[in-house]
Amino acid sequence: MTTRTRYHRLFVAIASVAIVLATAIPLHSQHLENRATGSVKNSGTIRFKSDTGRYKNAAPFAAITNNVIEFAGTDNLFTDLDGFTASSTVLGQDPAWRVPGLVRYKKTGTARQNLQPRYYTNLENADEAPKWIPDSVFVGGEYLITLSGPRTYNGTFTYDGSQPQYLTSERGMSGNVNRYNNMTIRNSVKNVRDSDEVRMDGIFTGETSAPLRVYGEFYWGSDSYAFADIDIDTVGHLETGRGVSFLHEDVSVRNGDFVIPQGSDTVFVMPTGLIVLRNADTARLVMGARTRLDILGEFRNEHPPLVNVSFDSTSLVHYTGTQTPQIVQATVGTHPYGNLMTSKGVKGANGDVHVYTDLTVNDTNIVMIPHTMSMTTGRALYTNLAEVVGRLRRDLRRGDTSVTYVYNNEETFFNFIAKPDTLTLDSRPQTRPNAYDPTTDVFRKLTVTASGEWQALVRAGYRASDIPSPWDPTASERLLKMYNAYPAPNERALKLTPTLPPTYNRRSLAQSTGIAYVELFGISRSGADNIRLDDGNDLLLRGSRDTLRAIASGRWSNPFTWDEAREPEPIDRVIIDGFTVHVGYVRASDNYAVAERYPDSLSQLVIVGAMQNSSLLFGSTGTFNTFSYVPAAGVDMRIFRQAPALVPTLSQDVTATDIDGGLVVYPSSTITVTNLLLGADATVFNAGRLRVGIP
Amino acid sequence: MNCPIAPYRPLSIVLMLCTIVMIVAAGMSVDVSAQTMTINGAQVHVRENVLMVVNGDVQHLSGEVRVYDDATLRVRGTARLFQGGWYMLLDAYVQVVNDLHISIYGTCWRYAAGSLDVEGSIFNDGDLNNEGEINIGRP
Repeated sequence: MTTRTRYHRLFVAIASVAIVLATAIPLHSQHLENRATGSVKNSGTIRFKSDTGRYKNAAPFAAITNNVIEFAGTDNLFTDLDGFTASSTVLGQDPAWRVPGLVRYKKTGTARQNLQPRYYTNLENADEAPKWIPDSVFVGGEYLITLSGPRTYNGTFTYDGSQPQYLTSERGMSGNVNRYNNMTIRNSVKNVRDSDEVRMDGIFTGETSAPLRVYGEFYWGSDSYAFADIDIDTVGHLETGRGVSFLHEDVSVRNGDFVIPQGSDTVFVMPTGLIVLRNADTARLVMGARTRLDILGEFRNEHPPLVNVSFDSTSLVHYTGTQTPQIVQATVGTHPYGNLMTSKGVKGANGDVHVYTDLTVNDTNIVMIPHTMSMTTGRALYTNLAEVVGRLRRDLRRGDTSVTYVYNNEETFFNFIAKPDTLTLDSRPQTRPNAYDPTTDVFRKLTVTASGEWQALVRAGYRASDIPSPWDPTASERLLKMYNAYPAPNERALKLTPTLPPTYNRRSLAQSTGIAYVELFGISRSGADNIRLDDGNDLLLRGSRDTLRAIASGRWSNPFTWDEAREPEPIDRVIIDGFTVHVGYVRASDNYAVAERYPDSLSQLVIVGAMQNSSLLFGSTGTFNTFSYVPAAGVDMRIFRQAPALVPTLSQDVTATDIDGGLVVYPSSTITVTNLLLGADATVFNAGRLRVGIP
Repeated sequence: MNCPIAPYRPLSIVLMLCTIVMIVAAGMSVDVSAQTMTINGAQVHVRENVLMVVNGDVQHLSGEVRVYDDATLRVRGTARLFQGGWYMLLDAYVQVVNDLHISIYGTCWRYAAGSLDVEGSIFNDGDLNNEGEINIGRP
């Protein structure tokens, strides 16, 4: 290496060191250090220009006043003299040491400017440098954003002034850049100004001390907790976030929108909370698709037309308060609930309630009286024996005859053969129906009204509480039948037998989980007395033991021989008139092989009428050949039919042909009856043993 | 003995001179000036529209410094205000290149609307009043 080269390198090295020393190393600290005896009275601006400049303080708080402190560096701080940020004399370390005046973070260029977590009075972000806003920034006065570069919010930003404050617009559409992350408000009323738009990404907390006035647009981020009143006015707009929201106090909408948008999680109106829509078209509640509003407190719409609500058909409003009753807010048909659910305490209603999709009633009843629960063709679902008490109306114009439409409880429905436009069932448990007989009838008033003709399989549910007093011993749930019951002044009940025999299906209370039912096929709004349930009449459930009538030729034990589709019991009274009924063997008329259930006490009374083919035949099947009516005084067999010709009796007739003979006893068969009354010209053909009287 | 510089081209000489200048400059930013203005009971009036430069430190033991509208006071060192006050009126401009110390008996009063630039730190044990602008440090 030449001498020249060595010197050249030496010069370069010395020059480099000099450059570094002269330009890069801050050789003096660049702070404001206010010591214990110092006072700083600033009614102008104190500006920190270096990146690391600090406002250090050891003096009492009273020694400090401030107009503007401007941080123009990247990492300016408030500290104590030793550089700590949290000791007792550091400005902004707690509310008592809140930095007075305005702290402005103002920096040009692209280097990020970091804000310090502090209690500020007023805070401003200015100039184009990006701002990094950490957790625990508290603003007690005004928060200003002046042509600021992008602001990234972390943790929670808190408005905590004791005087009313405005929430400053941040309009970022996603993430936490130019959009608050978490926000907490406390200590005074906070306002979202008209034309302002405040958006956030995280959790909103409105503390009890901080009512919120929304006059602009406010979009919550994820979860939200509102512990104080919220007013929405001057076309304000408040949208809940994607998380759950808890409203502990009132949300009052005077002129604006309270929106639960699609994608939002459940909004809870807590027991102390209320959503109230004031009397204005523009006081609106909007629920988007698949949203849910759980009301433990109250929801009230004070606008009588009730057209200021919009519920998506997939939305759900759930009344789940424990107050008795909790009132379900009325809706109108043009603005119905999407899905409606109730649970916990008993519910009432302040008007007609319209539901577009499904109704779910859990735990306790909804008492609609004197209003109407109105549905279309959605499902009505019930748990824990809950019911809709009062009118449940369905608009069936879009209905289907293949669908079962559940009405007031889980065991009450209509399955239409022909459907009307609308059908309303007014179900009132423990209420006297028309033509009520307390010894035989269910104490439940079921009134059907419809627009348009209908015919249906009808199931009517009832509960144990609907049978409040003991029935007559002869009455039974097993005998429950449906009647068309007329109101006063001519109260009467006509038994419905739409088919012969009627196709009843029953489940007793003992077999049920709490709601028993009677079901009958073929009831119609019009037609003959035996099939018709008049519009406005009651559907009476009566468990009386009516006289059984044969409605077909067949075996005594065959239910389809009788008008109640059941075999006569010993306590029954029986009329056979116009048909041939046989006992003890099989005939081709019905080929019914089941033996009589009570061969030694067939019934209390049997009358064989005078019409053609009225016959009662006694035969035998092997040793099954001995029969008797109830062996007691007052039990009669009465025969009135006169046979037009001799009836062959050498062997029991097994054909399907009717026999016109009155009483016929075939060989090998024995029948005992206490009293036998034979009418004028009546005929008896005895080829077996006929015993009259009790031995 | 031959001078080692002699064989070099003019460019190298320029480079060496620059180096020396930089070293001096670096030394100036580290060191305080050896020159000091001491004020001990005096009343210093820096009248309107004039420039006063102290190429070193200021030791203000007592008395007052008043800098009037549109005047400039430039201290190219550190200012230590022990007792008395500095008053900067209207658009007066005061620059302290290093630090400003205000002792317990000192007052520094920056009236509106001019500025006080302290390129180092302000150490305050007394009264610092600002109605205009105080700029601390350098970018």
